[in-house]
Amino acid sequence: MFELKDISLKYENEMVFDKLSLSIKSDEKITLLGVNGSGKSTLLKLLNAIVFPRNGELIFEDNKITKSFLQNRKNNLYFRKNVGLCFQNTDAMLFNPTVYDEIAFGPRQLGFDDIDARVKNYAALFELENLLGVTPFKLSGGQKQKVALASVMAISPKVLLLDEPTSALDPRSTAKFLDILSSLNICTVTATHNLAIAPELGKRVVILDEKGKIIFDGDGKNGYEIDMLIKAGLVITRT
Amino acid sequence: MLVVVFSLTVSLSYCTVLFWQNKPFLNYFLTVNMRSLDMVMLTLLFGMRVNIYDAFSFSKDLSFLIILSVSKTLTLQRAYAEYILALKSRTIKKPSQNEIYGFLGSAIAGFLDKSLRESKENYEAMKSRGFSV
Repeated sequence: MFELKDISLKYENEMVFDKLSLSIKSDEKITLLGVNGSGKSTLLKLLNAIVFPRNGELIFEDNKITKSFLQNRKNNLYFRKNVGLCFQNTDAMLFNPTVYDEIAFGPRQLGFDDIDARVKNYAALFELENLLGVTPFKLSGGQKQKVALASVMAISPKVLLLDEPTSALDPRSTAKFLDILSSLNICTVTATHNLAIAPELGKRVVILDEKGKIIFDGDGKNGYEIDMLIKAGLVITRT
Repeated sequence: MLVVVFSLTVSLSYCTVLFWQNKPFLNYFLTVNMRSLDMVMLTLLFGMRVNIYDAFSFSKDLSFLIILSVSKTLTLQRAYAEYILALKSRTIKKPSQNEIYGFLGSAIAGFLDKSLRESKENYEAMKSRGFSV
């Protein structure tokens, strides 16, 4: 589904990736692990074609995704309908007068017909029915995160990119979200540094080190050793 | 409080100049302050009676602009209030005037930077969900 070939990328004047390659299949659930600044968020933005590589290729369903490819309205609609990104900073995603409009934003932009049904369905899924008339930026951190997740999922993308999706959720909401995620029959790539929930986010685990280099890519259940997590800075040894 | 200080500063300086020039200043003082009061009251009344989001809902772009401005203002306001509280919680003795100017300078620079970064990310999030201009 996705193919990243020899990607080199500078983001905000810093080299984030140097010849990074990654292949993602359509039915995969991937957990992206790495410490702060390892490039997890940038990789998700790259997969969402929000940032573009300096060198290398990003291929989605046999289409080379470039700025000029997305300038074509038809191509842009096709890509945005299929790939959704939930940002780490949920404040960045909330810019509509009400929660209803926020969830409806994506479906409206992408020309869906069943907007009301989508909004009500995803609001119910995240227990937001009573907040549909509220202004999103007045909500609590956890509620904002739920609205942001519902807003992206309302697009029903084939690929869901999630950047620290449970960072503001309480344990009950986190458990509920993990249930929702596992019930989805789509490709998901979830970035986190929370090792406690990592195994539930995806069978395949990709670990980035502090320099944005992939140091492990494989089965998360029994694949990586503690040494790998120490190398990535996710586990610290204390004397 | 800020409005009162501002009004008083402007009115008193103007009145002082008129007083030195031996011109009547009481009329001016009353007119200007009544006008200010009118404007403030009308603005407050407008804010109470009119839903600003609905008022601009005829234009998608204007509506976005209003929401973005209001949400950014409120976010920064909240961040500033928290900044002051964090400063207070870590300050044992009263900071000097120079230190206060230093804190304010870095706060303003920080908020400007935060605002620019978040605006960029806002636009990325809009693009990500299919918004195009």
